[in-house]
Amino acid sequence: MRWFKKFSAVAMSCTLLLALISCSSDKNNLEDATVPLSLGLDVIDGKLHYYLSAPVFSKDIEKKSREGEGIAEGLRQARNQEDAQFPGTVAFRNYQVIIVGKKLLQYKDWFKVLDVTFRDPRNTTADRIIAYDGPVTDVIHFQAKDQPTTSVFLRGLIDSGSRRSTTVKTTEQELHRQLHDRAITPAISEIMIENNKILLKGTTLLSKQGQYRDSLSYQETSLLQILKKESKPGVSLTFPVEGMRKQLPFNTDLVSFSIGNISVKIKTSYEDGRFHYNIKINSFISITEKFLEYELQENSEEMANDLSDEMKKSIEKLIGKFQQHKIDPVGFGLYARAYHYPLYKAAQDSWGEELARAKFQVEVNLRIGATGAVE
Amino acid sequence: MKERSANFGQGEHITTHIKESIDRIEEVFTDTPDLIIRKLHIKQTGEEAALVYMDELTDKTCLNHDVLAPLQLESGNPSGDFVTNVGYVIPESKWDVLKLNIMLGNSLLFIEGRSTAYILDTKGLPKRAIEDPQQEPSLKGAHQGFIEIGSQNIAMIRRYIPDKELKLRRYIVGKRGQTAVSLVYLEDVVEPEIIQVFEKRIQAIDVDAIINTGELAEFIEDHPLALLPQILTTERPDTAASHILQGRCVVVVDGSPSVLVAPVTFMSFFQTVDDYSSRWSISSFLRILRIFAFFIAIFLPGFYISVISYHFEIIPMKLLLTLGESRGQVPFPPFVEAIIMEITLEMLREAGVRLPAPIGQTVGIVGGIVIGQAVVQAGLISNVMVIVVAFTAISSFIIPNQDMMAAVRIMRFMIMVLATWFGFIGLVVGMMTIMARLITLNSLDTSYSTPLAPFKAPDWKDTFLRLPLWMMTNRPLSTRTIQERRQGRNRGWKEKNNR
Repeated sequence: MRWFKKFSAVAMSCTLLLALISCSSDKNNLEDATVPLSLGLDVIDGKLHYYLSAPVFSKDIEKKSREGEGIAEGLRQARNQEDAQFPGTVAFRNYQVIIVGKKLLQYKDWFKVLDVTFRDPRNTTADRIIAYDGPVTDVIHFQAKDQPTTSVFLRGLIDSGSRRSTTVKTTEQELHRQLHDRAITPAISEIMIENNKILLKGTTLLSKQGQYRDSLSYQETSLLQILKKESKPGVSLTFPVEGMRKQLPFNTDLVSFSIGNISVKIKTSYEDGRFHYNIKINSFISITEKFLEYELQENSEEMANDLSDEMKKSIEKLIGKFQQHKIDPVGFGLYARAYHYPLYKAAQDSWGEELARAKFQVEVNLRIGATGAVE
Repeated sequence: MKERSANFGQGEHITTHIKESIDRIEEVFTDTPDLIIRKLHIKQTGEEAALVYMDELTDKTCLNHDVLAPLQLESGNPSGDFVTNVGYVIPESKWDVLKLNIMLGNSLLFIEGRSTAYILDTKGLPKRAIEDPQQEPSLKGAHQGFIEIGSQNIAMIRRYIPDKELKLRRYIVGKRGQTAVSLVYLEDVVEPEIIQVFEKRIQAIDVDAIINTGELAEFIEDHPLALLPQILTTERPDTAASHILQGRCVVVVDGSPSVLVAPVTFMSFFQTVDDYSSRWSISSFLRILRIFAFFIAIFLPGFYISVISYHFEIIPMKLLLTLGESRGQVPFPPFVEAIIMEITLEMLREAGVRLPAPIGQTVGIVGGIVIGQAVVQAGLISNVMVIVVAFTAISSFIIPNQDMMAAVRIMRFMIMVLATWFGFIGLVVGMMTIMARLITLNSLDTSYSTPLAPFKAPDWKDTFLRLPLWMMTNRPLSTRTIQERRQGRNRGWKEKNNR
């Protein structure tokens, strides 16, 4: 057995040696590389423009980031052009956000531009996709003294917003899934610049081909997240209670509440040649703000019913919006596929149209669990 | 006590004439002014005699009161032979043995007309008091460390195990040193094959002298070229006794304050005897901490280098900005940066070890300021690197065994080189090589990597965790004991039907 031991030792050493030799000498020290944290994509005059924003690693330089831009047919194709604008070689590995201009969102299958980020396994696909209505160069070159570099700021904005369900957190990987899964259509974050400030605007809904369809406000996004069962506890909603509006600098008829654990049940059936969805929402809520004179303790059920009605109306309106645009950001198709596969399969190629014909029945049952410390 | 001479041939015998014997001794020990030959008249038997001893090696009080006084002053006794008050009197006629005994501090009594001399136990070697062990401070155990007298060290072990099965085999090693090397073990526990292997290896040693245990270890280790130590050394009698009870052998070398323990496993180097006297949950936590520290100490600088040089896509964004800013001002590539810091650290450590304690503190201050602040402020080293090095150093100090600590330090440098050339692939290859080496090692023909590979489930009770003592009914399988059971059911009183 001695020869066998020796043989295996030699074989092992050779394997290890080969493993070492075959790993290419792609050594690139962090300080010698340029690691852009933001990528911007836009279309100007029918040509694809790219924008990069990379951090500058130096204590002495006041501006902490350096931007580059150019016209590209493909991101990798433009590599030499990218390298020419930065002191180190540009590595596509640490993107935090990808900002997509609304003009690019007019084009079908714009997502293919990002092919390179998937092809090289070193590249990240956990970067957040953000839509912007306007020239992307404004965002990339945006600077303010009270704000860290735009890349860091945008990432923080999306992360905290998605925690509060005021926007969605769609990473590149997730967008890839939403685009390729026929039972769902994509929804990505949206920002705007107003009064020289970058603000979170809400959510952008895209079609199956990735084209722009509609935008959602904060509250609509929260409802979308509730329907997707992706809302985290602490979602805050505000609805008017009817017939109590008075003209004051603030609305007296508004009631805000936050939702704890929420139970969403979606049942699907197929009748009369179309899909039927039965959505049941149950939750305990706690009232966080109200201005109107109203005895909450005594009439809490009445208040809960009013709020439930308001929420039901909003959800129905939201679903109506989806049906109008023939999109399915909630992923109702997933339920159809799971429970009525043969019927779904027949309709999967035109699922948007199929969903537009579907009937929805929404039931919301909110119960007030807490009204706060004051009357 | 079995007396076995490792390299001692048959010698000449003495004659009946004192004169001849004295001449012979003077001839052998030339230029030895501390050799005393004292002629005397034994009052008890009326014979002429000569007492021979080394001046500084004998206990003077004992010699005066218990040898010279009775021999010269007391008159006859019923037995008809001379009487002394020393521990043992051994008649011996071989010159080789006699010469050795003079050098060991015994005195020889030659009597006119007798063909045997007498070895009198008058040893009085210079020795120090028993103190707290320096290298392995004790937390909860006994505050006694071994000293330089082999017989005393054996006595300290015996205090813990006053068992008739505790056997000793004594060998004389070294042509000039004549060092007494004692193998201590429990005869009904230790696998006889291990004793044979031990004996064979010790008897094969042919050197001038063995000064310390480390030298002996190098001669009997299975794989002297391997980085990892395969024989454990300890300064603490309680540790030694604990190992003997687990079924291992202990080698006591006369003149050295540390003893060898073998066969040991890799995991033995992460255990201390204090683990057994602390509560088991705490000990288990510490064990896991030590293993974690072992990996940190080997791989952290290499990991840092590979991340900076190859794989910065895995750095979280906020850390990337900090790291980038910190690295941006450093003129060296990460490997050079790491080597500078690691070498500095090693130098500081070595300087601190060799210097006398009062100056040693100065080294600490200089090192702390130079490494901690100046180097970063001067822009030579990034502050993240300082943190990495500090973390590595602390991790390596957690490992309780000095030899293992040293091995880890060398491995760290190798891993750093691999990381510089090959990134994570280098790290993985390095880790695989260490593992492969680990499982091929033996300690006295006993697998070094048990209970990990070969897998021995019962031993896991005392490996990464230290489960409660009453659960460890058997001795560790890794020692290949012939008597496995070491305790009964100690918490039987807890069961209901026993109430």
